[in-house]
Amino acid sequence: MAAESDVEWDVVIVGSGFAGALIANELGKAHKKVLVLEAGAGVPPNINAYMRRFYSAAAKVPESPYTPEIFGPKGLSDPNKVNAGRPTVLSTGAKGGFGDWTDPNQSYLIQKGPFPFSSTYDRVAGGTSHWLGTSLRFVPNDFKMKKLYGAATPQFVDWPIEYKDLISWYGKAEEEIGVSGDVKDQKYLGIEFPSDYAYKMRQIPNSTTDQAVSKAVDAMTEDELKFLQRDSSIDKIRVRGLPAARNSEPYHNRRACAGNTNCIPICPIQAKYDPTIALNDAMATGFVKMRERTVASEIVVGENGRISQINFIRYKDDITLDAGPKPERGFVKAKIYVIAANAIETPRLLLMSKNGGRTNNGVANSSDMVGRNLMDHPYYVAWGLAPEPLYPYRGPLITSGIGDLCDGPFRSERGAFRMDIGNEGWNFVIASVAGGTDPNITTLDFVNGMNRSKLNPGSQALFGTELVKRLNEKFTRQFRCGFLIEQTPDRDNRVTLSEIRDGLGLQRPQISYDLSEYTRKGFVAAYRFKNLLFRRMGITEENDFTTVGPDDPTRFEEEIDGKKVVLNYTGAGHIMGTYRMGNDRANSVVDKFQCSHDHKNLYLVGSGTFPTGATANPTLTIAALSLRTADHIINKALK
Amino acid sequence: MDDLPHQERRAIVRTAKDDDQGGITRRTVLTGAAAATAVATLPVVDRPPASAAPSPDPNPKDMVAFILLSSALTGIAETRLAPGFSFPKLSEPPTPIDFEKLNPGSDPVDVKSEYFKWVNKRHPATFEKLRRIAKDNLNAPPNRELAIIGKIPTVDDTELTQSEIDLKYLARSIVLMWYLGAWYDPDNLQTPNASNFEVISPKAYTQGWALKVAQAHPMGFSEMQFGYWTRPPNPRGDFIG
Repeated sequence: MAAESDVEWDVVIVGSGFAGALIANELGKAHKKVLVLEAGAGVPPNINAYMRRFYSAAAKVPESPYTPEIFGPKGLSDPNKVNAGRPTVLSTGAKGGFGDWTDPNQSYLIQKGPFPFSSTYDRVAGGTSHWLGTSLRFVPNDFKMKKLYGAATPQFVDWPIEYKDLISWYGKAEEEIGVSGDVKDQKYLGIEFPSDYAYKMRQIPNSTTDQAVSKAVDAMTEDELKFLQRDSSIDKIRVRGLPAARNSEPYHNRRACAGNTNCIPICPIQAKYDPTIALNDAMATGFVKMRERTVASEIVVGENGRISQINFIRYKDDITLDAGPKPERGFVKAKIYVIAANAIETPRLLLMSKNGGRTNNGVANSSDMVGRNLMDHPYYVAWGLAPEPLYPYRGPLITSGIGDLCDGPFRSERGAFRMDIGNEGWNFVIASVAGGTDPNITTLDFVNGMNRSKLNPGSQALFGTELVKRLNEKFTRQFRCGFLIEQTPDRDNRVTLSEIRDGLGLQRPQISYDLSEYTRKGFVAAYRFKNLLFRRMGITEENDFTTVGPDDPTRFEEEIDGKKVVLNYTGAGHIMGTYRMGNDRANSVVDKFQCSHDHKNLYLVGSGTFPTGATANPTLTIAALSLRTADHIINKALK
Repeated sequence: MDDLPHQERRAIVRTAKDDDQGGITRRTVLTGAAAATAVATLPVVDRPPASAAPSPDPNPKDMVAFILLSSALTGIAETRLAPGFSFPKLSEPPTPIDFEKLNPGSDPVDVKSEYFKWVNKRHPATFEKLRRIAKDNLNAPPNRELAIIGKIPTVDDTELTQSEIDLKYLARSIVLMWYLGAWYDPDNLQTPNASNFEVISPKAYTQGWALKVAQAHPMGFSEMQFGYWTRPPNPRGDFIG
């Protein structure tokens, strides 16, 4: 049905994730007529189907509750046939193996390397609903990397806004999504709040694992921390709670966290905010409509360089069937268009929009920056066995971390990092070397006399009370930490278009990705900090189980303290940079309100607008910028 | 949208080979077997095995033997695996437990019935032998757990007959079933494909013991209250004893 073509909408939004849902809701509350186009499935009436799919999944990866189905009859679903595909962590595997990252018949993204881009996203209403919930503000210096630290790192640029421009929007975002936190704990590295500010809900309590790490960190001396080259006139480093969109009390009709230890990929009780909440609110205003399984396929540029319409393809089945119904084609018209399709799908759409040759380099791309400067937070994980029980596998997946190392004089030379304390033991970290996750791998080891976890060198096979005691003794001492490393915006890290297509015949995203010297040096510092932390926690070298598999496509080597060390990374799920904001239209794609320099009625939102990635999880900043853009659209663009 | 009633859904892999066995097939998928329909338009439904008649409820005495067996092998108390199961009160001096007086009990979750039927469908003969071992060693010294475990072959497969090998690995599959809510078929456990598995059902996953043994809970299924994670857990015995 092409009924939506008959309406002139005030705003059409492509994508119903964090940015799209929040903007739709603000516009709906302001009585603007909004149409949201979502490429994936729509908002389900409840999460029962998601939970069933998740509970039944053998591989409980971040995508596992959501459609399209990860597996097909012969292995991974064939991305050549999926109509709105997406990457999965299962397709970041070694060359020649299952889920080969370079195999276009397994990997939705066409990966050119030299390194795999390991982050993924969902294609359902609510976007990346599998997020953890962490809601950190950036630190003020994050916005000025060129001015403060750019001398030796020319690829850095400054944001066209500063922390102070976002203070009130951060507060509004924290209220909208419901962030629990402690202001006292968050005033580090220059982060400031209005004098009477309080988070809407008190901080989620820390975990027994956090407490153990805290003791170790508090015992660190300035001398042994010297190598970090921080500004040590600032506070001692310490473990701080993470502000999170996770209820610590009933809020907006949702329950308080019950510690299901499952935030990624799905909270069974929706104590964690996800964008279907804003979407439902938006639709309840009566002014917002949504169309699911509707893929924007071209942005049409009309006279005066304004966008005149967006063409779409609507499909019924997640996978193209030879004998299935043909996808329907249509278009929508609006005064304002917002593309909120994430930092890979948005540039893909812009680049695909050739307008019969008039925009051969894509829409909104006079700067040639669309798709460039792709960033993630490459995530370095380490794991070991503590001398005393920490009691992991309890509480939210992460409740605390170390933020004091996110900025400092060292940033002239190396990437910063933020440390996560994992509450889930070795659950996912052993997957890269053990071919499965815990508790399954370690349980299998001690029942079947194997040693994939490396915890059973004697290959003992146990039963009964002996088995109980042994597993208890191992699981309760499992510890893991993770480091989000700052990545530079490098112009050759980019999203382009492949000639290889998806089920709808659209060109799939092609990725080139590498780690700069600046970022690798950030890894080196994180590795050295990890060693210090383990030492302080009493985790001996033989109880440091951090390993990199020989075929791990993300492995690389650095010389550290005279020794060759093998490092690797996973994706943090923080896809940024590919249509960055800036004042200079020659060097950026959107302005400080996320409006395209080239087309005055086109907004591009989400973390694709971030000129630099810093170390904080991007979602709260996405939310703050989205609310600020919605306000701009309502009060300026639509007036 | 999903319009299936609120019931468990099995992830069953189907290939041509399955149809004669009505069971699972081997997969070389790295992270274990997982299923999806090829045709995404069809709602995913339970696919009954080739022997389509619904399995009858297990005989209570067989169920009692299964509970005794499972408890010995897993190290988790009978009354935890099967809430509602109870032993007669200890007498002074203690007398042997009379098997005939034991009842399986009933509980609303009843994962024990799902597990009994699952194993019985796949390996009925070896399963019966294991149940007999449990029944015969109920009062054997030094205690029933050690006596039952002592009857499971442990030496290298090269020194065992086929039926001893079957016993050895089915015992392990049963332990993994209780611990992980997943089926690691004994045929796989003997091979390098040992880590292949399928989740038995959503319910089974939520009743897994591996993380309760760790004084925690299955990930994605906590029945505890806000803030519990900031304090050390109750002793291990409270979880499994």
